[in-house]
Amino acid sequence: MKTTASDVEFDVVNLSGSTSTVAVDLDDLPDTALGESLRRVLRDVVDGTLSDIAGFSSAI
Amino acid sequence: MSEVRPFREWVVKVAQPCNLACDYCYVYELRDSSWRDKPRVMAPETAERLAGRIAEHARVHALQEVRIVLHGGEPLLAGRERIEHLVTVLRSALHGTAGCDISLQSNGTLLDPLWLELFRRHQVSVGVSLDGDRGTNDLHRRSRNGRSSYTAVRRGLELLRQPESRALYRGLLCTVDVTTDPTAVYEALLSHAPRAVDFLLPHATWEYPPPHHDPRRTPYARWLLTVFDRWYSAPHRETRIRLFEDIMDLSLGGRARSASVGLGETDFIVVETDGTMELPDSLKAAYEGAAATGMNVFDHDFDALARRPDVVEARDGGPEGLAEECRRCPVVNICGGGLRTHRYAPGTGFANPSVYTADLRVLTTHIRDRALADAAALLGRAS
Repeated sequence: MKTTASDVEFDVVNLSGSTSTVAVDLDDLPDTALGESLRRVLRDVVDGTLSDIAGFSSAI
Repeated sequence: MSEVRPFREWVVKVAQPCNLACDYCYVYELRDSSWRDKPRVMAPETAERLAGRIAEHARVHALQEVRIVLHGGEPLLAGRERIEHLVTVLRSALHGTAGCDISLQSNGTLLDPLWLELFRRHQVSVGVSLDGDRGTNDLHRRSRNGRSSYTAVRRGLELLRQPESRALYRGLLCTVDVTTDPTAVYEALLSHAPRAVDFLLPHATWEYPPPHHDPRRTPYARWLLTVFDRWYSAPHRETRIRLFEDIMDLSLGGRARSASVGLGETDFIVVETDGTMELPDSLKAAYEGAAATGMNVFDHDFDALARRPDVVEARDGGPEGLAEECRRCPVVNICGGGLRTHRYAPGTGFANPSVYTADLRVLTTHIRDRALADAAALLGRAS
């Protein structure tokens, strides 16, 4: 199930290693590779579906 | 029983033979020859026992969904009757216990309207292996007598893309050849309108390094990054690319979906045509018998398999099992040491960096830095 939440908070770790928290509306993210990646990560976190397991790579 | 970490995905070898003879194939062309002793296809009684074992595992662990990947050889060589029987007994055994996502990974050459009708009826989605345009695909993906497979694959993909079957079309799997033009390969794949693509590194070890292996020039990273930059910079997302998405998601605090990268534990297991349970079959690229466990669906349940120390070790993606050099690496959380198979060297086993370590470091560092910098800028603007 997809998250419908907007204004979720997201920790942004910049390249210097420091962290800042920003509020994000998922609908405002662009339809780009980066926007989709951010949506997936946010949904994993918000939905609590973030689990550290990985599947078979020789099939798609 | 809670100490058992359950499996969630089963790679089911429904047929041993293949109508192609791809020169990089880890089943037939590399170090393991165990396929010679296995039945050509999975017998109905093996399929029924397997379905029962999976359902039992799902019940014991209260799994909400299991994933089944029909694989080979070329799985369509099992024939429609056997495939239909297998998916029927799987769905029947799991009914009321867990959802069941069934997919099939094929070379695409044998797809025809009858197969697609069967897949629509049983909701079996299809991934196809393709390495690019005709010239690129023919470099490796030929029949045993040397004939091109391209026309047959393209015909299969055209059928899969028809409106009535389009929902079954899972995507394309491409093995990297660094002598090819990466942009041309990507665009050739895009021309088949896949919803997802993945790029695989040719299976290799320190004993048998990949073609054009060069840790100073990192040709695999350079090839992949050419595709990445083209894909990432597109104003609208053209398709999904699993490897790149996994690296980006890990960089941004998410997780990987595939075992190729990251420190996640693997959740899949392989079942051969004779019902034997095996470790990830890419290990067959390492040495004879590397994937064998000695267990089978007739005599053992999947919990017994999951408790075996060698299975626990092979599934563990954590940093403890990695080489010291990897544990100290700044991108270890993203790269994860790469596929276990690619770390193998005689004498030291799997406690080595990947034979692709230099390429993986360049690849993951570039993607991480680009994604983090752009995410910070994007989220900064959004806040």
